Amino acid sequence: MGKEENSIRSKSVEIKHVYKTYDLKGQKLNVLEDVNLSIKAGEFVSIVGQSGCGKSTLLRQISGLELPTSGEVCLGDKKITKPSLECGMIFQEARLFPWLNVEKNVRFGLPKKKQNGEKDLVAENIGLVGLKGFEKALPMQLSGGMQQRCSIARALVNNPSVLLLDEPFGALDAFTKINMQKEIMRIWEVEHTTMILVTHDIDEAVYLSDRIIVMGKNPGTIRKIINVDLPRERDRTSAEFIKVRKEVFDGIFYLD
Amino acid sequence: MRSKMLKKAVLSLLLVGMLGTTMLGCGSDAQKTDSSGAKKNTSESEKEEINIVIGDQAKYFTFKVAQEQGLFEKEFADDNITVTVENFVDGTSELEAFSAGALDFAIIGDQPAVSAISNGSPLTIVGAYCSNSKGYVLCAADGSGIESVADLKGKKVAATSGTALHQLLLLMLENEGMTINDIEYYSMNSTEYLPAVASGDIDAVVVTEPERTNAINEYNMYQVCDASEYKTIINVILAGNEFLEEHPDVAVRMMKVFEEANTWVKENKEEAIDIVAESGEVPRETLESIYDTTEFSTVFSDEQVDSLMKTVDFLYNQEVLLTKPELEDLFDDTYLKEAGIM
Amino acid sequence: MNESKIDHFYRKIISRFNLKSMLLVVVPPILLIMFWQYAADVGWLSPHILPAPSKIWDAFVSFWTDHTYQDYFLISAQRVLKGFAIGVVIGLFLGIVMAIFSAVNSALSVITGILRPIPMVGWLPIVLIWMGIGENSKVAVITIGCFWSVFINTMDGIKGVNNQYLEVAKILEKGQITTLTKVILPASLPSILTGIRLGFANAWRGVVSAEMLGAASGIGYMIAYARNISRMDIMMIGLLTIGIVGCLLDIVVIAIQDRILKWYSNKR
Repeated sequence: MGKEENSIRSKSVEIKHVYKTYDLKGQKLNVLEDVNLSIKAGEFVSIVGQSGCGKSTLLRQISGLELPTSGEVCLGDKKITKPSLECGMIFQEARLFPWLNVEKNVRFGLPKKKQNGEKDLVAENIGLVGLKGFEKALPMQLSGGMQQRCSIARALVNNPSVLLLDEPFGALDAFTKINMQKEIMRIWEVEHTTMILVTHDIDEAVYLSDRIIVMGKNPGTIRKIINVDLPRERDRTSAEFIKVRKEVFDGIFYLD
Repeated sequence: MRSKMLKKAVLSLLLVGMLGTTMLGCGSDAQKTDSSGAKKNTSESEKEEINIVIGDQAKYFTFKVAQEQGLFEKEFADDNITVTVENFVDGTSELEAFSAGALDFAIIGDQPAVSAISNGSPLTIVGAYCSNSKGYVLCAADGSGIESVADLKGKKVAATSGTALHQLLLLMLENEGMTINDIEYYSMNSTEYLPAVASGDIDAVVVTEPERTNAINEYNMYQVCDASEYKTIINVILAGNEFLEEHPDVAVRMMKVFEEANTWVKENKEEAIDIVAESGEVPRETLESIYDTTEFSTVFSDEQVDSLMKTVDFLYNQEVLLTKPELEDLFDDTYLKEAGIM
Repeated sequence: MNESKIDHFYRKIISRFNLKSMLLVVVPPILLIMFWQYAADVGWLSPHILPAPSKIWDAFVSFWTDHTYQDYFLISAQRVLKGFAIGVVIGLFLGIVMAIFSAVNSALSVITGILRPIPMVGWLPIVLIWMGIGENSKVAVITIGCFWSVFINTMDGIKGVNNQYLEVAKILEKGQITTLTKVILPASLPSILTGIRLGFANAWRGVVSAEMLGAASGIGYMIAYARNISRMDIMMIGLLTIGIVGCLLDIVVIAIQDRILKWYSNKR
């Protein structure tokens, strides 16, 4: 599939005046207050910030698993009212079904009706995430990184317009993490799905994103948006990389 | 590795040892452990404090009369001996209490007594209580169409297994050339078979009082025949061997008291019935019916001995008994003899 | 051709058992029986309370040769199987319904809460009155015993399904029925199978209760009858049957359970 076709398939995300309040035993917790953000189709955006700033919450509003208390989120030009196949999501846990092997877990990502060529589609995505040869393996036989890859394949097999990633590599060791970041970048370069990543890892954000959204808490809003104009593949030790990194770091810790 | 294996071996041996000891503790006569049976202090019988526990059932007369009339106190109080009468629902429960060392004497049906003694329980029959045949009956349910024993063929009949009622049923069937396989037999306790009659699941029952009156009055059954053509059913006095060995003289005196009470019962129908009716467990009319069909006697007549040995034969043939005991194995007449009753 | 199935089977058994651990398992019971027999012979045990193993064996042989034992065993086994089957079906159904529809759960919670503590034995008199003394009442008592294990474990298993799996299903737009059959039930399978295993154990155990009253055959009846005629050795045959068969069955059921759940890792 060509890059242009993928750009057409992927969609933009519009977040307009989103507020999210939780009710905890009578007390109201305002997690998000008036969040506004426009994400272009095919863009790779990271959301960073300290714990409790609402970044995961924001992601869940986009996914449709939760709905904002007020304001709206639009996928393309349609308002999001529930979770949909158009907006895929992967989590910090791989969340694979332990009773299904890799192949069947990925197949689960496709709608129920049998389609033509679905076998090829599954195989293609398994290859895409680098799990070729492990089709019949059960999740308990896979390492953490491999499970996460399978989870990505499951999320991508139905070609979603947007992929949400909620700290997907947080549970992995440093080296696996770096490999997985490379994988995601490679996949994005092939598929060009709109990707929205929530992460604690500043390096990860700078390595992968077109833009980095810095969120703060009290109130939970966007503090700063940083453009990353570096060409890919990015050198983590280069001066430009470190410069962006500092900008993000300052944005998180000093801008309050 | 070696020490691990050794450890495991020692541990498992310890476990086996523990299990074995527990088994011994439970398996040996519980008389070694504390029980409400006879306790003793010192060897001098004057200073001994003894508590005799007697097993009774709601429909028996004599022990209640003895208690009511203060006969136990009269005989035993000066010697620091007390008598407690405990109530049981059936012979099996009395036997269980004997096994636990919690009973010294009891009135019980001959069949459970014979079974228990033959199968190794340390018990002895020391006297008789009564015999009865008209009071053991075959009752049929309304609409069952049973007019005689022969009509039982293919019908559903209930009688508590292992009791004289069971024996009676088999005798009745045998008389007609039938066996238990010619009927649908159900073993049920006395509380169960009457409701089963009400729901139509049982066609006939073999019962004695108070179930007999209950069956006829509450459950619309009618009497087909009684045991008088077949067998006399006797009830006996059973005693625990440990008590007999430790206090033979007390046992003799107990038989004296019993004889006295039994005689009184024979001679005072109305008052005896009053005394038993007081507990309210068995209605007066039923007690009257029991009394009228019962022959009270502390000594075994020849007929009663005969009946006892017939019970032995029956149980042996039913493979309930592993060996066939003689009369001497079951009944020890020493106590009656020394009490001057026999 | 591959090695024959029998060879493969033996290889599996041998590889699982090593001699040392087998001895550790098998020797203590044998020692216990030997000690028991010795204690009986020497007179430490009273025969009317705990008969010698040899006596129990003799009584068993007698029951076996006139076919009574086999007949009784089969009758009890049939009752157990029927009760088990019905108990599992109702238990699964109610467990699933009450787990999924919280309204039903709330509505029935008081009733089930009160009924649950009642043991199988406690039901017997009522069931006898309602259902008579035929086979049905015995099967009913066994069903009750089996039902509760299956029901509770199924319900807990389903309620306890990780919400993370449910979110994945939501995002992938899976319908309610697909989510139930493809996500919830497989995820709760370990609990459900445990419930079924416990249910089976209870069903077998229930035979003693179910046949205590109003029966004329079966292992439970054998025990009740033995009590009435003061034959401890016969009672022991019944009790040992219940124990040994129950143990063997449990081993088989666990093996089956492990086979089905080979994907289930406790490390998770």
